[in-house]
Amino acid sequence: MTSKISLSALISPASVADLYAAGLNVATRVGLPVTSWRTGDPTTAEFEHLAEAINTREQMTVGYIRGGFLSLAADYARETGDAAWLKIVASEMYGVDAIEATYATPSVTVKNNGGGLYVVDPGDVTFKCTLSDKTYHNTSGGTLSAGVTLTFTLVADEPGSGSTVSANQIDQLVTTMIGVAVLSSTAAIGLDEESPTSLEERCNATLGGLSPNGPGDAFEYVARNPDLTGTVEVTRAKANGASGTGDVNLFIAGPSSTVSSGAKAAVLAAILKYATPLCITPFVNDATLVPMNVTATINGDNIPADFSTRCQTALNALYAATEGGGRISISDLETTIQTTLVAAGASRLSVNVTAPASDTVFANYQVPVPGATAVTEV
Amino acid sequence: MSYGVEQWCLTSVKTGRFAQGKQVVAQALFRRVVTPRGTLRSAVDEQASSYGIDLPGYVGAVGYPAAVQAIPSLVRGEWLKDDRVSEVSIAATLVTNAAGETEITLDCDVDLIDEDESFSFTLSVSDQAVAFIGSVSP
Repeated sequence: MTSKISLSALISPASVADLYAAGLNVATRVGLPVTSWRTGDPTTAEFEHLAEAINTREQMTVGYIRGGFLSLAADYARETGDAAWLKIVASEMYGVDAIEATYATPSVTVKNNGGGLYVVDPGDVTFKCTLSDKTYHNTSGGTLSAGVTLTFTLVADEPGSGSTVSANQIDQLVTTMIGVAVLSSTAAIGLDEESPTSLEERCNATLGGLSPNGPGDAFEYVARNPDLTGTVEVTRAKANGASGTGDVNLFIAGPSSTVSSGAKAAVLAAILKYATPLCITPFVNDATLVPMNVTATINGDNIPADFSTRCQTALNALYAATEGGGRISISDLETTIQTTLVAAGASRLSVNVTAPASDTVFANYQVPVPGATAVTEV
Repeated sequence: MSYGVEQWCLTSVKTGRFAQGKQVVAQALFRRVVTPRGTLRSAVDEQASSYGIDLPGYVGAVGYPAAVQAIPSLVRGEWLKDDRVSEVSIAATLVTNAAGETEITLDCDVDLIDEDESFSFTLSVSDQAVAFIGSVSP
C-alpha cells in the first residue's frame, strides 16, 4: 500500500517558538535554573536571539529547497502569495518566465468648455472610473485651448484586472481643469499576474514541448507561451486530435472570454513553427464558453459586508484556472466560497451550493466563464 | 525561594561572573530602568513589548525638578511587573555631586514575595545614565 508524502509536511522551517523551547529544554536537562529566568535577563535574551537567528537561517534554507521542487514552490505560492521561488524554479529549471500583470491602456476624449488654456504633458492629468474607483494617468500630451476636443491615451495606475474598463466608464477628471469635461472613453483590459497554478501547469507542459512527435502538451505549451506567440491573451489551451484526418484542433480561451482574432492568428503561427510535425494540420479555435451560474447560501458569524463581491472574484479565479476537459465540482465551489470568506474573517461558516445541481464536467473544447452568481446570506 | 544564578549584567554582560540570590533580582530591576520601552524584542515573550523605561531619557525630557517628583511612581510601577517583587518604596532626592553636576538619588527598598529576602539599594540617575551605587543590602 502506497501513501502520498506531502513535500510541504517534510520541508518546513522550525518556528522561533519551537527553537526557543528546544533550547530551554536542553538547558533544563543540564540543570540550568530555567524557571528563575525572567523577561530581560541576559541568558533568556541570548536564547531568544539564537532562536531568531536559527529561524532566519531555516527560512533561507527552506527557500532554497523550494527552488528545487516545482510543486512545493507552487504550493507555497498558493498558500502565502509569495511566488518568488516559484518564478525562480520556473525560469531556471523549465525556461518559463511568469507572465506579469499588465496595465490597462484606455483612451479618453475631453472637451474644454471653458476659457482656460491647458498645456498638458504626459503624466500631468489623472482620470478616474467612478464605478471601480480606479485611476489612470495620461501618456500623451497636447494643448487644450478653449473649445478644443482632445483625446489622451492613458495607462492605469495599478496593474491587473481591477483596472479593466468598458467603454465610457472613465467618467471623472481628478486633476483640476476648470471647464474641461470628459466626453467618452474606450475599453481596455488589464491582466492579473499569472497565478501559481497556471505557471505550474505551463512548466509541466514544457515536457511535452521536448517531444519530436508533437503530443498535445506541445501544442498547449506553445499556445500559452507569450514568448513564442507574442500575445498574453491566451491563458487556457486544450488540444484535441482527430485520428481519421490528422487534424489537431486546439481550443483556446482567456481567463474569462475568447481571445481576439489577432491572438488566434499568432497562436496558429507559433504552433506551426514550434509544435506541428509533418503531415499534421492544426486548427486554432475558440473554446466554447460555458457560463457558470452558481446559486449558494451562506450562514455564519462576521461575514463581511462585501461577501457577494468577494465570492464572485474568487469563483472567477477558479473558472480561469480550469482548463478544457476539466471539472468543477460542487465541493470546489463550496470550498472556494468557504476559504474566501473565512480568510476575510467569517467564522462558524456553512456554505450550501444549490446550483448547479451536480458537478460540471467540461469537454476538451469547453471552458468555464463567469455566469450569474447569487450568494445569499441566510 | 531560590532566585537562581544569572550572568552578571548591569549595563553590559561580565563574562565569567555570575549573580546569585537577591543580586539576580536587583540587577533585573536595574535593567528595567535603563531599557527604553519597545527596544527589547522578543518573538516568544509577550511581556517584552511592555518592558522597561528610559530613566535618563525621561529626566532629559522633563527636567530634574519634575523628574524627582515623578520618578518614584514610574519606577515602582515598572518594578511591580516583576512577579518576584511584592512592594517597592522609593525616596528620590535631588543632589549635586562632587563634580558639581545635578543628579537624582533613588533610595530603594524592595520587598520580595519571600519576605526574608527583602533588600535595599541606591541608584543615581542623571539625564545621561543610571548608576548602581554601593551594593545590595542586607
